[in-house]
Amino acid sequence: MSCRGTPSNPASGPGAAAPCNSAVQSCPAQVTVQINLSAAVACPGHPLEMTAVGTPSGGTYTWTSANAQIVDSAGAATKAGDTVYLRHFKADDATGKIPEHTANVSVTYTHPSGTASSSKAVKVHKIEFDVTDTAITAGVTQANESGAGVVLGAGAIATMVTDPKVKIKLDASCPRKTDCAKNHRVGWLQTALTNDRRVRYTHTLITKSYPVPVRDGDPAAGPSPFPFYDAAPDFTADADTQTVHHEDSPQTGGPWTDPRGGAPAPPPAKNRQLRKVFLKNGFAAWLVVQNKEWSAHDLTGSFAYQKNFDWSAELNVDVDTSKAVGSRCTPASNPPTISALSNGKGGRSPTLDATSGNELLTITTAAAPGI
Amino acid sequence: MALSSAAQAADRYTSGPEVLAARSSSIVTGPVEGYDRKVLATSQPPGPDAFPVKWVASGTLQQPAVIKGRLRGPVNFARPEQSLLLPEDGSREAWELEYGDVVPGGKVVVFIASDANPSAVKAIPTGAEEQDLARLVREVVAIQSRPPHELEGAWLGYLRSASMDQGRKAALRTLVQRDVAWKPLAANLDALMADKSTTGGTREFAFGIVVFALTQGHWAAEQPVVADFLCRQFEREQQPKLLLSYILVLKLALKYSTEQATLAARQPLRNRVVDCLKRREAEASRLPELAEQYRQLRAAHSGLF
Repeated sequence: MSCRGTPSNPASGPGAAAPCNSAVQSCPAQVTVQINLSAAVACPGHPLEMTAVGTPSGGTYTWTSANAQIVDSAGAATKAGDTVYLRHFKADDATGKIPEHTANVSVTYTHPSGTASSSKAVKVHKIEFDVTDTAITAGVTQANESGAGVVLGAGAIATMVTDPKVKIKLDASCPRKTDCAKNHRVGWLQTALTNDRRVRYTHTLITKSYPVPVRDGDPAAGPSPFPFYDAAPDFTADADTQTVHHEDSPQTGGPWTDPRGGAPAPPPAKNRQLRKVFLKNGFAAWLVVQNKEWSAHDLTGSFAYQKNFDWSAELNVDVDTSKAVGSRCTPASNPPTISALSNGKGGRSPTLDATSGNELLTITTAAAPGI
Repeated sequence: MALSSAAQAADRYTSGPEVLAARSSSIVTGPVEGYDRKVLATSQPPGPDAFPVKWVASGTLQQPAVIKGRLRGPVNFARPEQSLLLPEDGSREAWELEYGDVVPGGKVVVFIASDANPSAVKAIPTGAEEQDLARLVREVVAIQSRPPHELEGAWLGYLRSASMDQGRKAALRTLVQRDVAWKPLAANLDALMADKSTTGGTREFAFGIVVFALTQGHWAAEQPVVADFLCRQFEREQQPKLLLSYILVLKLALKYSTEQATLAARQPLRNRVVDCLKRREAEASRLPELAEQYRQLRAAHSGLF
């Protein structure tokens, strides 16, 4: 009489020490487990389905990974189940590249007859990006006078405008090139670092303020995808190139006549007249590629920072409302200060709050000494 | 949108009353009756010195005059407005701001998107004289109602005959949007720019929209002659404020001409722009704001200057 099944003991568990006494009992079954991947290579940020197959059936699985996330089909962290998903995304903040990563994953299968373990090294492929046409064109901040008042803002072109082109380059091993490319969008993040906007009438000071630093751009509700400053197009395929327009023209202004009811009326004629307008804003801007799937659970970690720069706009004007509209403000314009474009994230981090600066703007009015 | 202007600087080359007129099934105008203003936000702190910064103006046109369509009877409207102290939030297009706010007893032009849904309206004050929106829209609608084969000629004619700056700008926007050929446009533009009665605002707009169209891919085969046109205007201009505008716009043309993928193809454009900028450098640089622009050009395009 011989043992039924494979004539060897499991590596561990109650059967491990049991003698294979074929005369009185069946030999314990060998406990094994193996990991099957749904694709040989994982895409950055995209869950890779992994299935563990344990024999004999009826046991439970425990997954671990020290350098990748293990999640269930809903994206929640998990360690159990025969089918789980591995995901990983980590861009290099210095270069904007998404480097290749080897995720080490292990599963332990526990069965009444014993336990078995298996490990696998899973490649998460790299993605690189070419960024070209990185010139930033400086316009001016200028006083735009009309019958109603003055607005300090853009001149013939935006105060700052740039149109870099970003090309996505997937690794040759990517198993789902079109979908992988479409899982990435490219756009600009901008944070307002400083703000000084004041409007001075003869007896009134109006201050426009919001807390800084603050996210700049559309409200979280859109139309741009949050937290982008403006449109953030998806890549459409491997080697696709997207032009990423970014422009801004910081703006402030006021009517020629003091809107504060308590301000002293003329005479003299200068009463209730606009006298000075101050505008100074400083910004940091980042050109980023975002992994869309990763952003759903880790917004901060979903960006591959390609480029960054700081810039500021300033124009402080004296106003003489006795002159004709069109020549009341001095000086009439001032160019912005724009730093050189740097690689990667740079020394700052963007503010990613849901509420943007425009939504926090308050206008405060106060009586002021006559000027 | 930014902590700044909601609109992009180039929006003025694509958006105007003619676009809204074309989209509207009916357009009417008349005096506002029953004016009301619902204040949505005021300055801080609350109290006697607080003033409205955001509100909705509403009213009724009891017996409006029809500019387009067949809509009859009273028309109600509500228009979001705000103080100049607030940055624009995008609810109004930039061109609308030139017409100011609705005032009690004032006139408005009301654009109705669909006669089936006359509550979907956009009301804009008419302004007066040079700013007479009702007259402008009447002229625009008259052109838009012509047969398709007459449209280009009609707009080219209006470019020269329009009595208002806004009319000339509407003609230029429409012609560019229709992808007009360079040759017929250039003949009219040259005359327009040389006309001493043409305002600085129109000259600046015409110069800007030509560069805008160029950078959008219009007249790709004629870039050198388009550049020649731009250079003629640039070298002829005497107003410092317009010179500054022209240099700023030429910076965009230069940026376009130095894009890596088309560097060789756009060399003729690039060379012409650089050459004419250089020709005026010594004279223009006497003004500090223009000298600063040349300093920036040298820094950004060190190999060209």
